[in-house]
This record gives sequence, structure tokens and C-alpha cells, in this order.
Amino acid sequence: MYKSIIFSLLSTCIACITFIALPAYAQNSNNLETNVDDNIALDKIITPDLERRVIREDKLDNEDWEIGAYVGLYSIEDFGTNSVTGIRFAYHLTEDFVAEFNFGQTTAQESSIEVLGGGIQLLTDDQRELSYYNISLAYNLFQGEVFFGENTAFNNTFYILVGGGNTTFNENDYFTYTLGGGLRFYLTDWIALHATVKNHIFDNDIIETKTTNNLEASLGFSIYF
Amino acid sequence: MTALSPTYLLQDSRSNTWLTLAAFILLSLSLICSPSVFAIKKGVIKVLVTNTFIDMHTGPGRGYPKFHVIEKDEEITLLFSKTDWIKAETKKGIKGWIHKRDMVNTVGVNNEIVDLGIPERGDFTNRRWEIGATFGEFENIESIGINTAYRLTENISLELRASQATGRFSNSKLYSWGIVHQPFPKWRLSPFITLANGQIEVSPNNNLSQIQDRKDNFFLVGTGASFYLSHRFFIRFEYNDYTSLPERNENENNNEWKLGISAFF
Repeated sequence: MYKSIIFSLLSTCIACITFIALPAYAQNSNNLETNVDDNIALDKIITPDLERRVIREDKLDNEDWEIGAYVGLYSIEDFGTNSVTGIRFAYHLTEDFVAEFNFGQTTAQESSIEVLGGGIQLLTDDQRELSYYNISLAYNLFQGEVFFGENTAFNNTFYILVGGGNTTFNENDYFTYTLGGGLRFYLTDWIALHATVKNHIFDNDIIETKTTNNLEASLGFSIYF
Repeated sequence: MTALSPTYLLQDSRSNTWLTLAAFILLSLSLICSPSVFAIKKGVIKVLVTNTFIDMHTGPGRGYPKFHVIEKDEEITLLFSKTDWIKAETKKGIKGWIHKRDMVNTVGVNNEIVDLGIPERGDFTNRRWEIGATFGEFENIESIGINTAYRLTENISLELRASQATGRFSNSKLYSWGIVHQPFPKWRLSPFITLANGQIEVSPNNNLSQIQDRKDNFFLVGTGASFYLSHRFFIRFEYNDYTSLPERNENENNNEWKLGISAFF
């Protein structure tokens, strides 16, 4: 008996809920439809596309990387001046800062003591080989233009740099600080000429224990990619 | 005299160096001769200017003079970018540099959204790669190093490092790989913990040095923090504790601090 009462109560409840809920649902879906219709109607007036495509920067090439080579003179303190060759990689962090990696190689001349000392040999041939690498941060201090004739202007930048790295000389390694400056001269947007002066500072004890200043002046070019 | 110092590859004879350099120059020249390789590798974007006007500079820097003004609704072609600047060409063929900041509201010719975003701190967690250079001291000996990391999740990255510490008596080269955990990657000053292992190569750096050539494995525990600067860059400071596991019986502890600059891509 009471089973049928419960059953009818339940059915009534379900029926009530259905009747209450259905129109609300129908209303909602109506609302949705009209909203969508409104949007489409508005979109037709304002924008032709519903889904706007996004163009990302990746589509554009960037010219933030630089690869180059240089030749110049490297003066090893007490061991004369000789030609130096090197390669450079750089990444332009912002318009002001550039991170650089340089690797260069030169050979030491004879020191005065070897020239005058009559047979004194401080270093073997292998030990005369000098190579260095450094990681530097350059700051573009002065940006400007130079003019060639009436219609041509080239961009250029004077920069200063500071860095650290390693010098291999006398078959030993020396931690080296690098200070310098240079001029970057843009022939086009992707080729630049460089004139750079650097001081490579490291301690060695070949003749006596001291801090040596080793100046390097170089000319080079680089390509942006 | 191993891997980290490229000398090893080149020092045998100077003629080799010259050959390498000559090959490099030839390669470069051939690349210059085909400027398309460098100029427009990917493509150009045609956009409509929605700002009231955009200044065009003669070079990619704020100091270069403004020589042209692009007006609203003008169609321009974006050619390539250099740092925050974009080389653009107007319909009349005037070429110059415009700043990305001025392009925020620009739309494509078919009303596309143009996303030229200057990377921000928020992008940090979306980017996968990190590259950096560090300067520091390993056992009070100056060191220089590089590191690269790949972000596995928001908090955890896999990191590779190489560094060289060159002192008066010894020359140490350290290579390691490990895991960096950043508990709060979205903070501007975000701390991290490192667990890594690797190898240290020590060689004498002085004819009088008592140090002998050796190679040891080590285990590294480190902590530090990175501080977001701007764009894609942050500085990071870290302190590491190395436990060398030499074949001799006693373990050895070394410590190191590093200060570096890193970029995410």
C-alpha cells in the first residue's frame, strides 16, 4: 500500500521537476540561440571573420645573432706584438646590450731577455702559442650615422665591453678579464664591420709574478642572421 | 687541455687555423652573395596601422633620427626584426625601423591579430629553453661558465652546465647535468634548488704545481634565485656545494658561487 503512495509521490515530484525545469531549459537554450544570432548579426556588420587569425612574430625573421671573424695585432706583455686571428659570435639582447663570445689565437715573439741574453730560452715553440676565449657583455654607448656623399648614410655604434674568459699561454691557462671598446659599422642591415680595441688582463709568472695587460687591436666583419 | 678549451682542436698547427679561417670567410662570402639567406628567410607580414601615427627611425635604436611618419590606416610591410625593432616598408617603398611598442594595436590586412609581443615575465613559464653565462668563484678561484636548461614542467627544468675555474696552480673544468626546481616560478625574484651530478677535471697549471691530473665524479646541491630583468632576460645568483667522490677514500667538499645572466626562448 505505502509502496504505491511513495511511487506516486516520486512520480509527481519527477513530473513537477520536469515541468519546472523544461521551460527554464528551453528558455535558456532560446536565450543562447538568440544571443548567438545577435552576435552573428553584429559580427556581420563589424567584423567579417568570427575567428580572427593571429599572426605571430615567429613569421618574421630576426637578425639578433651575429657571426664574424677578425684579424689584428695582439701585444703580449714582454713578448712582443704579433698578428691575431679570431672568430666572434654575438647575440643582441636588446638595442643596448650585446652578449659576445670571442675566440682568438696568436704567437708570442721573443722577449727582450731572450733577444739580449745570448741563448736564454724562456719558452719553447709550443709554449709561445697563445689562444683565448671570452664571454663579454657589450653596451652600445653611442649610436649614430655617418654619411657618404649626398644620398648614403651608414648606421654605426660605438660600444664598450667587459668580460671574462681564459687565456692559454705557456701551456698554462690563465683566467682573463677583458675590457674594451669598438666601433660597429653597418654596411647593410646584415653585414657589419668592426674595429675593436681590447685589453686582456691576466696574471702570469713567466718572468715574474705579475698582472699583465695585453692589448689587442683588430678589424673584422660580421653577418647577422 | 680538453673539451672546454677550443685550443685543443686548433693548436696543432697554425696552417690549420688559417685553413679554418679561410673556409669560414669563403662560406661567409658565399652567404653574403646570396643575401636572401639572411634578409628574408621566413616571410613578411602586411599590416594596417591603427595608431594615429608611427614614427619611422633610420636605425634600430631610440637614438636614430625619425625621418618619416606612418599615418593611421596605412598599409605597411614588416620585413624582419632586430631586438625590439622591426624593419618596415611603406607602400611608397620607404624603408625604416619602427619599435614593437608602437605596433601593439596593429592589425593584419585581413583583420588578423598581430602578436609582436615583446617577451614579458608572464611568458617565462611558456618558454621551454633557457641559455645563460655565469661568472663566479669555485673554491675562491675565478670561474666562467655557460648553462642551458630545458623546462619540463612549470617548476622543474633539466639543466646542463660547463665551467672553467683557472687558478694559479690548478685548472678545473666542471661539467654537470641536473634538475632545477623552482617552487614559485611566477615570482619576480624566484628561488630555486639544484640537484646535479657531473665530472670535474683538474690539471696542474704551473710547472711547480704539486697538483696531479685527476678526474672525479661529483654530486652537487645548490640553491639560488633568479631575478627577472625585462624582455626575455633575468639575472641569477647561486651557491653550490660539491661533494667529489674520488677513487681515493676520502670525499672532498668544494663550494662555488656564481652570478649570471640568462635568457629564455
